[in-house]
Amino acid sequence: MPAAPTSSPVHTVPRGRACARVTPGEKGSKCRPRDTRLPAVARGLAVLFALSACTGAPAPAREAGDAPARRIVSQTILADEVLWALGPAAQARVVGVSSLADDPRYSGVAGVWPPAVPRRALTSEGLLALEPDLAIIASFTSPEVRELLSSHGVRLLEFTRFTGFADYRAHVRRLAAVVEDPAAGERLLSDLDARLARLAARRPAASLAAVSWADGHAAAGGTSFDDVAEVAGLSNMAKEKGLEGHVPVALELMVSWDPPVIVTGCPAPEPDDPACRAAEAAVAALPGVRATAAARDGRIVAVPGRALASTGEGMARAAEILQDRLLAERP
Amino acid sequence: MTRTTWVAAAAIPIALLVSLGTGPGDIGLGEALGVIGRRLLGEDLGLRGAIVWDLRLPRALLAGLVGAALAAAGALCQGLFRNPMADPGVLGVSSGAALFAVVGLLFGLDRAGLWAIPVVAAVGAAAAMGLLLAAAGRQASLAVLLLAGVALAALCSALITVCQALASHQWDFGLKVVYWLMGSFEGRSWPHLSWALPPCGLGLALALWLRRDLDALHLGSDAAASLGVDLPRLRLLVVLAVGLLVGAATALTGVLAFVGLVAPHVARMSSGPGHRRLVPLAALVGASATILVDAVARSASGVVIPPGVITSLVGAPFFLWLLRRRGLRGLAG
Repeated sequence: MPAAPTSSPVHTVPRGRACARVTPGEKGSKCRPRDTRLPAVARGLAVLFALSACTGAPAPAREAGDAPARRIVSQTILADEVLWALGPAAQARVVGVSSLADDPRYSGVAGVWPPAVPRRALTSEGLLALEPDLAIIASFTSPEVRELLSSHGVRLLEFTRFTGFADYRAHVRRLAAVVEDPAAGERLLSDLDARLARLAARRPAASLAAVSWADGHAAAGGTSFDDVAEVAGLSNMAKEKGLEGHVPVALELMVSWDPPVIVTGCPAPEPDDPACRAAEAAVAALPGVRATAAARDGRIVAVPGRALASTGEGMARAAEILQDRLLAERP
Repeated sequence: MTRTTWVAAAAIPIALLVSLGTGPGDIGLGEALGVIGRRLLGEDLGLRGAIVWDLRLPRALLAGLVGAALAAAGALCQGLFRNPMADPGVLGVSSGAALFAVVGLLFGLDRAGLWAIPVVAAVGAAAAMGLLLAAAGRQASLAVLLLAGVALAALCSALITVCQALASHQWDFGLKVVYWLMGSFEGRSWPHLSWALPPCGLGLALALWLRRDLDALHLGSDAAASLGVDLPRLRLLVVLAVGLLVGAATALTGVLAFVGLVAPHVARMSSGPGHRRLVPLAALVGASATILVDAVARSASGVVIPPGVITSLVGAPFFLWLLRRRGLRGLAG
């Protein structure tokens, strides 16, 4: 059952201060009393101000917490992936997934959700038509859509932190609670732990320094790549340079670091796709890059975007790809 | 050459030195010059050599060439339309280049190689120029040419917005488009410079050749015709020169705002309205200013600040100051 709304979004002005009841001269009143004579234009403006004051500020978006939901619409790739991985019971509660769910460049569940499950972009009408009781929204969901969904009784769940495996674990547990199947969530995390253990066992004794760089941006500290690098046995150069987040890093600066490994993304589902070789060649062809240790030693590694940019299970996949490539090339 | 032109010409090597000694790679001017000297002698200097020789030097030279091209194109446009507010973008050529570049990015052509987007953008500039000439007609008046250019630019901008809206879910595409539209010299090297030289060289030569006819046009269309200027031919050649200059510049570096508008006015403060001195002086001012803007963009921090942003941030207030100081009639010379 959906949780009851905590407050009505359209009645935020206390009853005792409703416009019709405001007495003339009341301190702090936003509504002008009737007996005040004003020119027509000013009266019109006053009415508009009064209406806006009566409508009040929009209600804050309500978090769903971990309350169960029966009709879930997902608007993030992470939720598309996790809800599928949680199994049939969770999948049965999903009435819509994001429009990016089938894009193999970003999504780990491309072509997996049945065609009967609608793919929806972030439009209020499209989402409301699915009659969800829970919408998993993205950080860029507009305040208007949030407010509209909220005012129609749809609970909102937004994940705001995507900085590695710890956040992923928290997200899996929350979604498992929402679909009332915590055991499925724990199974998912056990699988992840097993993969991380295998990665740890293969980790080289001496870590290689790597920079994740594409289109003038590097993934520094506090990013999912930072966790990926750590579990793969690499050190994140951008983080070691004191940078945080996904930051613009000029080509000259990146070259001057002389990275032993350059990791970049490629628009392909698998690492052996020719598009990944092309992406590596494109980075190698950039001016100055040929002089770096990474280019000299053939350690420019392209990882499929859906793994490198993943904030979910794909992070482990990215680490596995990096280990496969870099360990295979080491004596 | 006048003393002002000599001073402006001398500013270019100074700007180049500033640019060569600036960058996040922590290489000073002395070391950079040493690297260039030894590189010219055939030495391979490894990483630091690559930073100076493959990144800083060609980038600074390209900035100078692009700045000169945009400024000369601006002087031509202001002369042709006898309007101080005319800038190279008014003919829609840069918008055509931008549209094709955005479409190229949308279809992932940038992955084909460094050459792909510049080539596609150059095709767009040429297509826009051809469309403009076809729409305006050979005998069209200046007003028709100007309005056709404005309409073409608006159409291209609208189509760019359509592309962005259709692909709004592709965040990497959006990022590339935004950075391309802001203009950048990031990652430009010798190949880009070699691609820019032929069209920019031809365009600059055309611009210098057209100076006398533009001076005659400054007296009015009737006066120019009575002095033997073939006005339809002049319009065609100016459009061709602007197309070459702006098309090549935009194709290689994206949209750099205000250089083509402000540099001719700065030059006009010293040279006066005559195009014989104005066009070369504007090109020199544009070259040194753009080199310095790129140096500032790189010295501000280790991160990427597009020079197109700096040209707008500096150019717009400077233009307002100039407008207030001299008035529209003063700007027109």
